[in-house]
Amino acid sequence: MRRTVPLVITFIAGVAMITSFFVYEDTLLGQAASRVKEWGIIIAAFAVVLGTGNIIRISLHKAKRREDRPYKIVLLVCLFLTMALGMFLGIDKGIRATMFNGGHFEGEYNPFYWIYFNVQLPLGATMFSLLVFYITSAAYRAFRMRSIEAGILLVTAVVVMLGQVPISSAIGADKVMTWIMIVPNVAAKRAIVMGAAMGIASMSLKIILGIERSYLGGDS
Amino acid sequence: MNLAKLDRRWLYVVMAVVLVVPFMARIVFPIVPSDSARKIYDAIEALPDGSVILVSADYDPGSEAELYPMNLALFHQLGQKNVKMIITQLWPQAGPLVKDCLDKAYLPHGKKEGVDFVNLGYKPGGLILISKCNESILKAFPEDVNGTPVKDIPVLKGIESSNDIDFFMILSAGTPGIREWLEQCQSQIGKPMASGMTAVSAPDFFQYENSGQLIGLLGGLRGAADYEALVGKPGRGVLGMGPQSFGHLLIILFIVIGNIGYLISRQKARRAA
Repeated sequence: MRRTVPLVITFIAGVAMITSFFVYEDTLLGQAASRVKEWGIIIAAFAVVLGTGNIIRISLHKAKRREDRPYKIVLLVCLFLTMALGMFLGIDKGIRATMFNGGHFEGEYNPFYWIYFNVQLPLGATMFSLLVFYITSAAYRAFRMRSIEAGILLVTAVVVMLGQVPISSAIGADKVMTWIMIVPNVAAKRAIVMGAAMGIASMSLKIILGIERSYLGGDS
Repeated sequence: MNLAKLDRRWLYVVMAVVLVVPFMARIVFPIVPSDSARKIYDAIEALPDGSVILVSADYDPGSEAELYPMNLALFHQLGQKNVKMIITQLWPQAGPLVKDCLDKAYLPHGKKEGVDFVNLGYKPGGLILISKCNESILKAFPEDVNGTPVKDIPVLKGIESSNDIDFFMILSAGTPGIREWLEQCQSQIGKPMASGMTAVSAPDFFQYENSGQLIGLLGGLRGAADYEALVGKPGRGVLGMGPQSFGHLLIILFIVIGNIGYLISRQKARRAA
């Protein structure tokens, strides 16, 4: 029963979604597919709650086992603090005052947005910016012309990098970059996408028909 | 000095200096917008009065550096046009950035919420949500970001589904994002769509521009700078081209030096053998 019910639900949902591409919305099947989509949106909303619950459970478990305890405590404190501020003090007012008053806590100051703009935004940007240092190190230490293929890759990378800056239009690198992007790049990407699409279609059919069951967990 | 064994921390220091100095000195290069950016700009400019454009802000603070300047430039352009704007978000953390863009670039043009635009806010569901919008925006987003029922919002009068929207502009940092919009919306209803995305994901989407499914695409900070130049509102995108230019040139220099070191060490090894 524990296996059969999820398999039946998967079959019905999968067939309804595929069918919706081929029938009009006002037919019985079309309406059924439309209803499944509404359920999907509701389930996705529950997934947000489930994800939050899961991260709390895992973090508490690791903190108890003294595994990365300081980081887990910071994570949980930030999670509950931000949630509490948003839920009890609201998120509908104060965005401008919070951003532009430079720390003057009057008017429509909003602590939720303060955390967003002064903690989350710089941290997110910092994480993304760190990539430049990894790329710098990789460019120097790993990007070696060990073969003709590596040489072609290296020259391509240099042209594409030049194409991303304003100087490129003065030396014509932007034209070469555009050609690289819309001819060899598109050719390779299309081949990959078509291959992946065939794989996805075949895997989806296996899931809908109950042949592939690994998503149910366990060793089935 | 052995070039092949240079401490990587020196590379980091040089890169940091090369990025920070042009930024502090506010070195600005003249921008020649790409054809792709120009196509998007022209397509939006060509929208007749009363047209409906949907802007989906599917990004977060991690990609704010690239997509926020695009968002700002786009809102500047839309603020000057007499078109209706619907804003959605498939990423939960995009909300405050969108609100900020509205405050800075759209509302100063005298636009009114509910009359000229509606912010439908974030909703989970990704591709299912997009697919649902093809049938009914009202059912996909029963309320706007302020909790107002969408049936009571004047700007949405006469707009039932994605079929009633004339242009889609998707600012996308990943999944769910432009790929889902292309698969579930553009390929189903065939309406004009364009996108701004992070530089790292742009190569994956040139094929859609090539096939005509995307009018054009803005890739990374360069795309933002192009759009700012077209709109005539130079901002962080144009300003970022200084550090980006020097940074890219430095990486190219490092590649050259690294390869010289590699060739020298290979020759030495051959001689020793």
